[in-house]
Amino acid sequence: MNKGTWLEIEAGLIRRKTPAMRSAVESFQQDFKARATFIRQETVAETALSWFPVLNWRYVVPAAAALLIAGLVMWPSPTALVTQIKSLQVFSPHSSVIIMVDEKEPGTVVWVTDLESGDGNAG
Amino acid sequence: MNVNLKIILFLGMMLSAGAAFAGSTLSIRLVEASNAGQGMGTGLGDVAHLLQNNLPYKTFQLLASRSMSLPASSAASLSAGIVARCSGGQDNMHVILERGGKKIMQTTVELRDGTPLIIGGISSGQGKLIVVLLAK
Repeated sequence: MNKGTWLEIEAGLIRRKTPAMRSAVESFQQDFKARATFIRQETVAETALSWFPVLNWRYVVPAAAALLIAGLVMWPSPTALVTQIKSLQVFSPHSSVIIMVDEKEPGTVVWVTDLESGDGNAG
Repeated sequence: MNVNLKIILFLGMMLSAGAAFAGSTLSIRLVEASNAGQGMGTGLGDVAHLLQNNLPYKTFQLLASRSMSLPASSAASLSAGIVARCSGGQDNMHVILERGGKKIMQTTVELRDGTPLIIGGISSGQGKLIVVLLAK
């Protein structure tokens, strides 16, 4: 049996391009990376924000758009911000009814002219 | 929990929060308007501009003030024989004004928070009586 020296063995290995022995740490890391490629990995940011989806960038734009549309649809007109008169009946004798809507000082005024309310006065 | 469900719940909470700010109290005030003198009585500061800008009177004096919880279902006896009977919520409130037990007028209104409704023209010795309704 031909036994070469260590130098001859090393030279032979270099010629064959035999990979060097991996350390235990390197072996573990490479195995871990290899296994990790088969599993979906979440980023740290995704994991931290997943409990509050609105902060997730994927949902910020749709949520903002939905709020904007809802706001535009539900935003009341200036006259809708004041009290609306649905019906009005005056039982006592009177001349006319004036309904004024003040948008500057928000409010509604119902004024009945020449109203006789039973005290004998009208005006 | 499904992410879409979370978004829907969030939007629902936003909308319900707005509804939660609806008024819970209805205040009813009786005011006498006249041209005898000039000035605004105490207790009318929040409606002073509305009264002065829209009615041809110089003096406004608070005669009575009452309040009731909303939705309303009671009568407020004011002054000068005026009684205001209110029923229903802000979206569909029925108001009946009586004087001396006699019905003067009735109206159905959609009352907005903080925006007063002024019903006036009831004759008075000095001028006119005005009822101010305000939900807040």
